[in-house]
Amino acid sequence: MTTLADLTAREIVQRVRARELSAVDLVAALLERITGLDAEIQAWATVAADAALAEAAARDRDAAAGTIGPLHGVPVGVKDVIDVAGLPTAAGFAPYRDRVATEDAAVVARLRAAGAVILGKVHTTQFAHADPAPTRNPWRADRTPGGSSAGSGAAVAARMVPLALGTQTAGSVLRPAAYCGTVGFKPTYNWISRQGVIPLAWSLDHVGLLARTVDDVALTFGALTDTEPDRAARTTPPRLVLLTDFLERAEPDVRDHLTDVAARLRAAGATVEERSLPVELDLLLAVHHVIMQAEVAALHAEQLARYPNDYGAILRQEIEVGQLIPAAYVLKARRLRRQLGHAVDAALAGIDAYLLPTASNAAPRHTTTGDRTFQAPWSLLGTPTITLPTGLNADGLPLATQLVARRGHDAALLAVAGWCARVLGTIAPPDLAPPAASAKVAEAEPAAPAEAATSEPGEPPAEPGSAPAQQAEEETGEEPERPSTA
Amino acid sequence: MRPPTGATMDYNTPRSLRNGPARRAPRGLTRGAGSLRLLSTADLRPSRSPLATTGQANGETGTTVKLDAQLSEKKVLAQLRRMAAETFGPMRTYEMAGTLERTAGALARIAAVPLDLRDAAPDTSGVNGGGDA
Repeated sequence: MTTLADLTAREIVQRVRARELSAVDLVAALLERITGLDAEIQAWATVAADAALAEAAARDRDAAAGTIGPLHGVPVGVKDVIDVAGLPTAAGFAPYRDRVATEDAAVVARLRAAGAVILGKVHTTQFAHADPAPTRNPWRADRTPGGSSAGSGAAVAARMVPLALGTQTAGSVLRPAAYCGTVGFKPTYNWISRQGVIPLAWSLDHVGLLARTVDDVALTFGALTDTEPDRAARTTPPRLVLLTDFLERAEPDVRDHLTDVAARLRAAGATVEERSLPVELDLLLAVHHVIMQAEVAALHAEQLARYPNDYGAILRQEIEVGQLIPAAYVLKARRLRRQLGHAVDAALAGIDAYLLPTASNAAPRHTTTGDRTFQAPWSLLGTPTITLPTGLNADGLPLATQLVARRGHDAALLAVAGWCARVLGTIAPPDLAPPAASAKVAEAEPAAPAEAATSEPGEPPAEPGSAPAQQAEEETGEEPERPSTA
Repeated sequence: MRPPTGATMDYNTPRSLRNGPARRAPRGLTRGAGSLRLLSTADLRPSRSPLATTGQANGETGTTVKLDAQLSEKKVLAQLRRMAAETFGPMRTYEMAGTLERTAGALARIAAVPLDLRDAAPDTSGVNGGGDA
């Protein structure tokens, strides 16, 4: 049975527009779900319950008056490095705990203008770097949700919210989306404004989106960029290149899964050639490493001197070692970055997208945020990239497929991703115990988009018993801590 | 290490946890009795710790990592370790061993790639390649 928490963003907009759904009822149901689940998952840093209910009521009034935005009534979680007026932007950093933003970040203002409802702030790793956040993976509590957009991935996967904002400097949107079994999209560099976003490494930082369907990502990206991605544009099978460099570095279950994905796409008519990158993967990673480390050091060195004990161990080392890198290396890295970008752009020009695993592995233990190797090259080059949840491994953890397109070809990538999602299907959500009073959708369920199908012939079915069983092992019986509210 | 002008420093923090070990004022110009006194050129030699001098025989400088395609990853790492020890102290250097190794690997790889000065990417400003502050 479909609950309000299961509605996609597009379904929400359709129902609010048709006055079949009250935005207030939806927000109330999600707040109830968050109250019931977040003590275990810890996705939320701040839940703005009162403000969200008031904003939802305003959306209902607008709908009654016939004023409807493209994201009308859609609740959104915002990563806690992005400013939301009236809420703290703590960035996982204790000295920022009471740093209340006075204005919305540009991307948040855009969301509100499109009719979205800001539900609150979701946890980030400290300053969107690599020291793990408190958030747990909804599929298994002993596994990382990934990072740095840990709360974004977990909140969307746990059906606490249909849409969340994340940021990515290495792999911080794609990886949590992959580990949590959601769709994650990082657009071309600079295509979503970073104004009002705490930077980590300014030439690598991107704002991205996490949702449950490609369609919702396309809807949101269109609202944020004033474009209208044509979801139906892709009717012909795409030309893809399966990147062997990444397959060779993937864990066996990931490699086998991508081989199967490629076979299914071929069977549906796609052209899938196996090739290697036109440049050395290790050079891409080296250039990314040096630029990121130098920029992180430039941004944080002064603050680290003031608050040495408040920095996480991994970020602190990054800042300190970054201070030692000579300028000549950084400048050479930047020049190489442009050369590498030209080479990859040229290789992508003749095809629709690269095909590769999103991560080298399924979600590892929560002492790490995972391996950035498969995502960092695209942050370096500023190319658009998207991850789709396309299967589960033998442990019942999500496996994901990544598509990468040429810079500026975001709409085309979303169309290719939509085609692939229709062919590959998606995974069933983690089997989390819903709150007792969770509202059910009263009216008849509309026809689900093809990409929302939960299984495909040959796809391993979800194993509903595995996730809750694991979570039961993790439970301690202690009184759960409630998320803070503002 | 004295904090830069205008910055604050928690003096309760152990020296090893601050931004660097104690240092003397830079040599060269010293202020005395309200006037500046130029020291002799012999006094202008850069100060180096005993650790820093050990790499000189290998063509490494004591204060930075030279951009040199011939430098092996091992030599880059040795030099980075020296710099870290001078700047942050031996304990922090020990704690950041893994990060230093990864960075040394990246630096050595970047140094090893030849740059064609007439290549199609002459701009290092980053304006188009991603660089808005």
